[in-house]
Amino acid sequence: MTDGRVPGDEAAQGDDVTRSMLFRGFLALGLALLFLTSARAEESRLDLVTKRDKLIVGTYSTAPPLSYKDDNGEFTGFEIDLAHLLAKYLLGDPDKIEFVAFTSDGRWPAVLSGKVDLGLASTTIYPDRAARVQFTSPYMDSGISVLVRDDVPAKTLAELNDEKYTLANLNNPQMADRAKRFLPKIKTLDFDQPSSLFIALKSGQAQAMQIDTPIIDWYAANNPGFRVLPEMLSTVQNNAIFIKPGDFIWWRYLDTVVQEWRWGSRYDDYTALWQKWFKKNPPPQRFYIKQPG
Amino acid sequence: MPLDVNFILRNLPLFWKGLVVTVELSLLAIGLALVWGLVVAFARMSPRWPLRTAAAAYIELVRDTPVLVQMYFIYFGFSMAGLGLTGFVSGLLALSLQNGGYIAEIYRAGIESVSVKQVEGGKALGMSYWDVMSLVVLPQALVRVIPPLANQFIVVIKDTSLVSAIAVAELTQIGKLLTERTAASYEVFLTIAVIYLIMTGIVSGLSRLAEHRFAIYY
Repeated sequence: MTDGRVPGDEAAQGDDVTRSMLFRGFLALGLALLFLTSARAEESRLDLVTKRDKLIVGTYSTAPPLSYKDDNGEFTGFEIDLAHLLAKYLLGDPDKIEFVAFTSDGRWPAVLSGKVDLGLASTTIYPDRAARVQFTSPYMDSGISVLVRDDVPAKTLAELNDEKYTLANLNNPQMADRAKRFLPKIKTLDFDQPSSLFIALKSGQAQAMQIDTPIIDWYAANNPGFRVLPEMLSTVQNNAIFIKPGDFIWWRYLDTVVQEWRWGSRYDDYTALWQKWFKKNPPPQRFYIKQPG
Repeated sequence: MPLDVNFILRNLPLFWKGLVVTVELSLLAIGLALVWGLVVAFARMSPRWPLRTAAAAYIELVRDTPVLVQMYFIYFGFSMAGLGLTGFVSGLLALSLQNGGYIAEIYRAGIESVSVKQVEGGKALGMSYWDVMSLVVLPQALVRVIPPLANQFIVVIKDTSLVSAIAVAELTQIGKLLTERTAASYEVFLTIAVIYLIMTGIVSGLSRLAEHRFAIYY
């Protein structure tokens, strides 16, 4: 105590009582605040995003043409445009959005810790993953193609299935499973980003690489000396938005938007993006819809 | 979300597989760097200036560039030039070459910390340069460099995680693969951190023991 109180001073003792009551009051207030904020933490991210008036999206910066950075360092790509649409529907402005770039193993903690509102990053739905993050319905399914060096004589998967060739994979389970299933004899190398696959191919550490068809087509179109094998490693790959589990309202909102893109009121927006990035219409969702081209 | 301990236990065999590669790579890299470092250190202290300059230039080159860049350079660059090395060998080379440079400087610091008077005394007694080195200087110098060497070993162990970028299935890459399959990033990276901590802890402990064992009391 530094208030100059002398022993036996009644007024000062009364002061002490008031002070301890005040202290208890503050304690109660603090606890109440703590309780309130923890209750607030339970509120849906939908409200959080609306109040913040900005959507924070985790994505890749090195996966053209889905999500990458253009020459000016701006995020661009099919998935980036989808995210802008989300901001437009939710906040009325496609630019009320912030992108956070992560690596493929950094994407899970990014959503689980709440750093980003959602992940939109060519992420395939996989049962083991669904136990820890929550997926919406898929916003696209993409095939998997194989890119080979021009000096590789193999014209088919059967010819490529040979010990003398090496296949570059991303270090994810679908890649490993597909390599085992379609090219059981080929040697494999696992890298952690799409650009490394391509460098491996270019430098000759690998003769072939597999990745999502849109990405392969982009690499083949932009680099001479490589060609895409006509056959696909034809498992279905469902790509979806993923969020931290346990927020039904937020999940329901995002899932609704995805459904509306694929077979509902926002099908036109969705089709326009397919035309812009893949020069074709999305797979027809209703047989009676006549699509041009 | 609670930590899934069963998940960790279930995947221990997988972590073990990665651990074996990490330990192999660490031990080989440390061994090579120790020997290579000695060669570079003596070149660096050579009375002949071309050798001295070359060694100094080498040390600057390897320690002023990131080891990851060196790995990429050896793995992808050599391959473009027609000399395809595996990821393991490329990583081992990069780690040994860089840490050889660091360790050379550690040796030099240790050797130069031994008083010149002792060297002169040895010479006065008629000992050759190598006798002075092996009997007088090195035994003292090596004891003094135990702590910084242990430090460097720990750096090597942690840097082996970088070879995951050039397709070597060591501990970190196994962890990344597992995270990719299951999204269990907290469980996986916690386990990996603990394993690295155990490995580096062993090195620290051994270094303390060695310091006591070889301590010179005046």
